[in-house]
Amino acid sequence: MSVMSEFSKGIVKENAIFRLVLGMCPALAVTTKAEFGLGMGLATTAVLVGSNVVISLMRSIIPAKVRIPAFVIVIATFVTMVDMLLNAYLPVLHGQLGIFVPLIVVNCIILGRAEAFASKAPVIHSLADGIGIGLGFTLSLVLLGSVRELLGAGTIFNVNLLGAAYEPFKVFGSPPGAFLALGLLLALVNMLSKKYKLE
Amino acid sequence: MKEMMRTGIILMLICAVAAAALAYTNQVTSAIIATRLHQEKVAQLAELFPTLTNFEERTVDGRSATVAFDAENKFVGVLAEGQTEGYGGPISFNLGINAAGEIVGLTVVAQTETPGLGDIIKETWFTEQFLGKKSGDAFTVDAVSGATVSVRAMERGVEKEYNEIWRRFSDGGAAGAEGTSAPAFSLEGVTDGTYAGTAPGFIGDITLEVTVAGGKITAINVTEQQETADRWADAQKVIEEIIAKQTVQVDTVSGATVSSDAIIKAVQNALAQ
Repeated sequence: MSVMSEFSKGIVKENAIFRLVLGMCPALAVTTKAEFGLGMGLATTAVLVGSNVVISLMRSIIPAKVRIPAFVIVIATFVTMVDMLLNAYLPVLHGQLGIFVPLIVVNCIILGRAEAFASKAPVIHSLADGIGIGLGFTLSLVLLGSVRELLGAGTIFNVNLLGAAYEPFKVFGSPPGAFLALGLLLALVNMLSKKYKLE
Repeated sequence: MKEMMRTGIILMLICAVAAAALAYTNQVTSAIIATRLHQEKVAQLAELFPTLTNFEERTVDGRSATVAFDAENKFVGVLAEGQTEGYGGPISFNLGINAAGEIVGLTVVAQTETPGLGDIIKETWFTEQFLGKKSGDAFTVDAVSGATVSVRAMERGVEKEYNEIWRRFSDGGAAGAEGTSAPAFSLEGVTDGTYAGTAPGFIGDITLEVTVAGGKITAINVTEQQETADRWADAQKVIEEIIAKQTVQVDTVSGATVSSDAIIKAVQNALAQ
């Protein structure tokens, strides 16, 4: 596959949230607002791009027997660096995402891409794959966050869209609302992809 | 066997590179993070003590507190954590007391009182009834029906913790301040001359002579010591530091704490004569 298609597949065809249904923990937990979804998505993308490139670079020297521990070390290193950098330069976002930044280390998307893709593909392809999957993940979280924020508070990115008369569905801001919104969006995506033959 | 060695070495190298990357990132970010946390704490404390410019964590008698100071380094207040036993379990709160001994802040941090009844103790209208109370006042507030036990628990708890905290920190917690374990030291009024001082070291007494000339410590000669030879070599660093800084408030030498501390004490003793 070309580098371009490695990039684009992550956004629609192999979208982590809506097609592969991976990385559900952050997807459900931090998407109470669109901006948290964006922050989480970009933090994950940063880790994913970093780990994909490094693992791809080292793919010929990592012994097969210990590849998983090696991947975990690389991923954990990037996660810890992102955590420290967010804490230093974007403290507000760091405070909002809280424990979910260190938890990126157990996000199965990242280890999944390392094992299934970056450990077998050239660096440039791995870079494109990381950016694509990461952006797809980010877009999905922003979409989910926007739906929940709109229904749960009448706003998107803190901009009031539904006017003061709107009585918010408070449930969409709570964990059960996350499942509801995700289920509805998955159904919508499945319907659209059947209609436009994206399978 | 060769395979195993190779695997281990590669894994070790990966870890070493990861550790280096993390150490570097930490070095870059830790100062920024520490500064921000400090500023946040100052902002939080400034609501209670408007004149504060700096603070220090101090521990007196097994209790730690944040002690606030103004621009002239005068004690302006203390913020400490307190606990009491409520109706549904422990209640913990932060208690702020200003230099006059008045309660200026009370926030409930954690509680498990009955929702809708006892949990009113965390509301601002409830906690602010304690503001302005000081030593000798009655720590009683309005009773709330349905929340009698919780309210009583707060009255008792705040009074008890107030007394505990104020007993330790009414002087700014000076006993817990860094460096104040050494008696006050001043070269003022010390006439020129040579003074002998002694303090117990690790093995035996350390005796030394301090030469003061023109109001300054010019030389420190150790006349007697039996310390471990290599530790002693390290410990003597404090002598240079005392002369350079003209104070006994210098750090002890790690690995030679007892010996270096003894030198500091001996110099103090000499000059206190």
